[in-house]
Amino acid sequence: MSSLQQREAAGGPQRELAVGASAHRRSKAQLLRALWISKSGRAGLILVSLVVLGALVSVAGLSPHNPQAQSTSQVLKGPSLNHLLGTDQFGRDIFSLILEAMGVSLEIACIATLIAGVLGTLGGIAAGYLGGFASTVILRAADVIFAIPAILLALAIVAALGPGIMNSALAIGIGYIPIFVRVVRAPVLSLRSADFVGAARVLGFSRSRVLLHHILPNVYGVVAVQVSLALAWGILAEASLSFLGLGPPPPTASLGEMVYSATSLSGIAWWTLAGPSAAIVLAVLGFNLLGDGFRDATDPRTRRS
Amino acid sequence: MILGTDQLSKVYRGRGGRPPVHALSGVSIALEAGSTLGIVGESGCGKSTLARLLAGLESPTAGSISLAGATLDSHTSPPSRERARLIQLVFQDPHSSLNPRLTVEQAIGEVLRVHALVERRRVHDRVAELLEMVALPERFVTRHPHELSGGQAQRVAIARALAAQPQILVLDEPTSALDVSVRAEIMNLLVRLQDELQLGYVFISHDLAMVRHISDEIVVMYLGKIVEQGPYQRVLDAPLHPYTRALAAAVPVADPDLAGQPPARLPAAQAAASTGAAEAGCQYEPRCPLAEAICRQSEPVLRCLDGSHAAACHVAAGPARLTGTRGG
Ligand SMILES: Nc1ncnc2c1ncn2[C@@H]1O[C@H](COP(=O)(O)OP(=O)(O)OP(=O)(O)O)[C@@H](O)[C@H]1O
Ligand code: SF4
Ligand SMILES: [Mg+2]
Repeated sequence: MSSLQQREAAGGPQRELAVGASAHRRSKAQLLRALWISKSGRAGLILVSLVVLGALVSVAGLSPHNPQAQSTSQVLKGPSLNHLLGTDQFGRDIFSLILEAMGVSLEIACIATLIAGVLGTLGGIAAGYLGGFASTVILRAADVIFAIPAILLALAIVAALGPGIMNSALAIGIGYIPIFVRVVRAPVLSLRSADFVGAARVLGFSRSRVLLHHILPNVYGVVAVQVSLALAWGILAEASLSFLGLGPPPPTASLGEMVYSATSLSGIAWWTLAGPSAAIVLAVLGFNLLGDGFRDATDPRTRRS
Repeated sequence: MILGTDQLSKVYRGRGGRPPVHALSGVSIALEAGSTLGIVGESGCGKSTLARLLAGLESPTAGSISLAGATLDSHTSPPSRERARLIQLVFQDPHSSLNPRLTVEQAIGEVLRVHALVERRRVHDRVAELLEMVALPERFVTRHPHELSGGQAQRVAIARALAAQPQILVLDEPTSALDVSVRAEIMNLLVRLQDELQLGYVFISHDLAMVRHISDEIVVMYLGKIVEQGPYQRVLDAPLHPYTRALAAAVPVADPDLAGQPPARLPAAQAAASTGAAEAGCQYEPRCPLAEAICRQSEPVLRCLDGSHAAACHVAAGPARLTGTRGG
């Protein structure tokens, strides 16, 4: 499956939440419980926790080995108790490298999601709430970005800006903006004419109060879903960029780059490919499942009471 | 007169290449302080459009609204705080009119805080007081809309409207989304509140039986226009317009005079609102059992036929008929 298909499957507007559908107000504890009740939510929470925990272990310097320590005596050793996922062609511990690379991956995906989430959500709110000319301009701009395959857009941006963590994040984030715009605009648009919003206006509440206190809180659910899906796409896109040699330059560890190096070795050392590939799959799957879980948890139609 | 409209019109742009919809055409009404104006008409005749215009949710295409003596410019629509203190709107579907994420106390308290109606620490007490006015116990303050029945939610919506201490409530079919068993309770509540607070009501319903109990004046609308208006006894006991008679016939009546008449059956609903002023003649003509040649040629205008009792019909009453014919 191409990255674009993946992205569209993950975040196409057709899958957005029934609006304002919205979720009765629930505390964070209740939301977590609803997330836990949904099968995909629970699986997603577990996977994402594992992935994040692993990255934190590495950041805290608690990995089983120094990920960058090379050793001529340990070149291309298979999985063992000492090296859980084996070693690479420089004798580095693959498990520790994966943990480090996961941290970088998450960092890039988070920054990308922040960029896409903030800009896209603001754009979606403006397009939905203001309507008219502003809406047309924003939607056209989003369409233009959306028309370019996201991974090509990311490639072009990194090629133009040069490699690096921030540049990768920017390249990946920009492509995801239109999805936030669409997914946020639809509920804002329909909430704008909801009776309770009309009631708030008749009660003399200011425009900003109506927007901030009555419309936006009913949109958080769709944003939460989209943030999870954007993180999944971010990790995948980052891996693709670094697979193509456009990731952050060495010595920054990177999952995509590990997969690339492993492709030439997989005939003699399958574990060099298995470890990083599995890490990518687990992380992407985890965030996608978490997104589905948020959807279940905030959609009254699928919620169990 | 605390609320009045003058030749109020609203035209919606047609969606997807369809012709514009004249949801409201030249509607003039007047509401006296503390009294009730009943608005009746079938689905799509523009009742909710009138309600939204009165509340300021939309601006009229033409005409004006006067509120407490001040004429509101037809193109300033955003409901201001001052307007909120004068006029409030109660919606048909109580659940959709309450923010799903706010508790009863948050929803009502917000009104009190925004308008600075009570001191901050008195908000809870005032909310409880308002709930008591609509006969809900204080423990409801922590409930969310989904924890309320339809009747309870409508009471909360009424309490929230009353929190702004308005002089007028526009009630857009406030009972039609409710179980039949609680409709009477809500009607009794509204009657009691009107007595206690001297509220003026614009009470909208598609059901003549519903407005007869509460209205002082009745306005009957058909396809965005007023076809009959007058004091409630006159409109109910001696309806002039064939459409009103059809509506009245759909209601069981005790009046032997009326009961003796052949029942004017309401022909199959032709729900669409007027799509244009192009066609000449009476809009009711296709359904009218009394239609005559004149009805297809000229449109009847609203005329006082009996004191303050007016109807828009060529055939409705003798003397006016001549004027109508000549005018056409
Ligand atoms: N925003 C809008 N855009 C276009 N047409 C509209 C709009 N709002 C209402 N209309 C049309 O105006 C006409 C009057 O609508 P309105 O909601 O006022 O009727 P109503 O008398 O309240 O009917 P009901 O009893 O079904 O509530 C209808 O034909 C409706 O389709
Ligand atoms: S004017 Fe003619 S068609 Fe219209 S209501 Fe009167 S009798 Fe019927
Ligand atoms: Mg209506």
